[in-house]
Amino acid sequence: MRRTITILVLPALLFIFIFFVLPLLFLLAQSVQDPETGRLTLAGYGDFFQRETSQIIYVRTLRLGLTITIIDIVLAYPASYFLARMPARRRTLAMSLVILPLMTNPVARTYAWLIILGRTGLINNVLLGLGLIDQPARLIFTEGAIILGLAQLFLPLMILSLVSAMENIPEDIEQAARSLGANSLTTFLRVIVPLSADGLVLGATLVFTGSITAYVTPVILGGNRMLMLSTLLRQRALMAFDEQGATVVAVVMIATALAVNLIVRLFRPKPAAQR
Amino acid sequence: MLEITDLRVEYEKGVPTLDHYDLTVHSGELVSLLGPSGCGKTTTLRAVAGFVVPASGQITVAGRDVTRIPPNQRDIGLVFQSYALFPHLTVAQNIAFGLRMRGVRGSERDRRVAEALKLVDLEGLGGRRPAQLSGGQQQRVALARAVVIEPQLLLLDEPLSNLDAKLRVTMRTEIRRLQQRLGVTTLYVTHDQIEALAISDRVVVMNQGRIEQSGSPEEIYKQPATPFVADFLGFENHFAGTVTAVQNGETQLQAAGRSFTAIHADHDLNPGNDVWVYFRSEAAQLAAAPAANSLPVEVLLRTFQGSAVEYVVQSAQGEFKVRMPEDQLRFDPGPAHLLLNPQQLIVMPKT
Repeated sequence: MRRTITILVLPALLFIFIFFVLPLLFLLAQSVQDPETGRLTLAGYGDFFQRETSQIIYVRTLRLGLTITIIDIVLAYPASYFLARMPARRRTLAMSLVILPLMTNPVARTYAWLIILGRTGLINNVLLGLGLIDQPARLIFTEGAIILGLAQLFLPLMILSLVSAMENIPEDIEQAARSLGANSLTTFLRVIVPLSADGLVLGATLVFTGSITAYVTPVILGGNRMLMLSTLLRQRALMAFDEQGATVVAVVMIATALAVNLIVRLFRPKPAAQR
Repeated sequence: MLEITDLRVEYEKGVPTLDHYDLTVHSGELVSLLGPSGCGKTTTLRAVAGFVVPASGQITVAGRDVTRIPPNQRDIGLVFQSYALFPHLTVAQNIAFGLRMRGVRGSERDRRVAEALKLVDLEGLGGRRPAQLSGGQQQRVALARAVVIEPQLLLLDEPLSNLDAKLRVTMRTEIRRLQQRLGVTTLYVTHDQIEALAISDRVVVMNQGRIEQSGSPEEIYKQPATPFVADFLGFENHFAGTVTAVQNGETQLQAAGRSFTAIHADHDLNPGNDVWVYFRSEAAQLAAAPAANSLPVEVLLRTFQGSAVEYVVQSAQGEFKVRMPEDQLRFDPGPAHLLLNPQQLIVMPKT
């Protein structure tokens, strides 16, 4: 039995090892290797953490990730509650609408933002037409644009995580709280939120790590003016041809995402054993 | 006291689950709503709790009109079939929840939680999580949680249905004792007739959103007022007849050319009325010879059931079930006579 299971999982493990783990190890090796002498060195990392531009970009990436996560939590909680309490039939339809944005091409979806936020985009045209501004405002290549784009992109993930957690909260439990004197808000905060904490943690982790590693949206909406780690990586690799610098950025980005996952796992609330 | 007046509840638009519904539960009384699923008993309870908004009518609890008041301001304790305990809170925190919502704090809260734990025999388990308790213990926590707030009204929605048969009997007694000790006005919803009869001061039998009969457990058991109640309360046998005379509390009947006497007949019956005659399997006896109130039958089947023997017999009026003590004369398949006890024949008009 045990052996059969090992054999079944082996091809997938091999695949992942050859095409995912191995390249990552090469990446890691390259990041600590002096490009000229080939010796072991941490100079790349020292350079990354000492240079002001990369410091700014690193902090910005974390800050944007956090902001996007918070925005998505605030937007997703009420919506998820509404969805989780829908009759099953209609919920299936509503959930497929929620997922729809995830299935549209990321480049096309992000270019749609340009139509709205661009110099001659929808918002600027309206504001100019109303005479509220004299010159087109800069909406694109700002932190705001990246936040908007990524918050929209990852909102479905947060909703999916929360809905699947909330579906398992029996309506009886809510009604019990109500009958004991809790108003809707108190019921939400004291019963719904703690009982959907698992979904919250999962959703927040997905959104945060997704945000700090996202590429297409920062490229189009942030450009070279508003770099994040992923776009910095592109710049180093494709424009500056600084291969070691690029691998350092890559390792920092992966390590940060892993660290966040680990920390969340360690400190997440103990799931309330139900039933 | 709970008073429901002319209540109308529509679940789907225009289709009433309850209509012109009136119900009173007096102070300290335990009334159960008994009926099959879909009879409107749970809807009634949910309307009283405030989770179903009535289309019209009035609900008052202890003299206060609560019809338009949200559930959290009704001062009603609610116990669910599923227990509905908060899985993320300990037993003590579960019980304290309602007190917390009422601003009861500190040592006062601790004292009342401890009292409630003692009341349901769960002292020392306050620190456990619901998932670490048995079903019976969980339902006791749910009870404690509902009564600790000293509600004006206690609502129990099939509280024993998730428990096994043995525990159900124990818990039923416990609930009744607790209710009597606290003197709390209680509405109890169940589909189990034995449970309803055992626990209630008064039983209200419901069918299709209407009250079929309301009375003491004895009345409901012995004197069903409608064919529905008789069927639901386990009257195995009935046949059709015609009233020939009514006098001195006795009703004379004619059925398939034979005459019968029934002693209890609460209805206003007149000679010539077409009626149903209901009787329980214990209300009849097999005999070798005909007598008053007897009819000829053919014994089809004899089943030994320990202290009793059950017979299936065929008569001109149809098939009947008869249950007799095991030590009585034995009847094997073949002709016999069925004696009907006039005290236990229930006569009700055909509608």
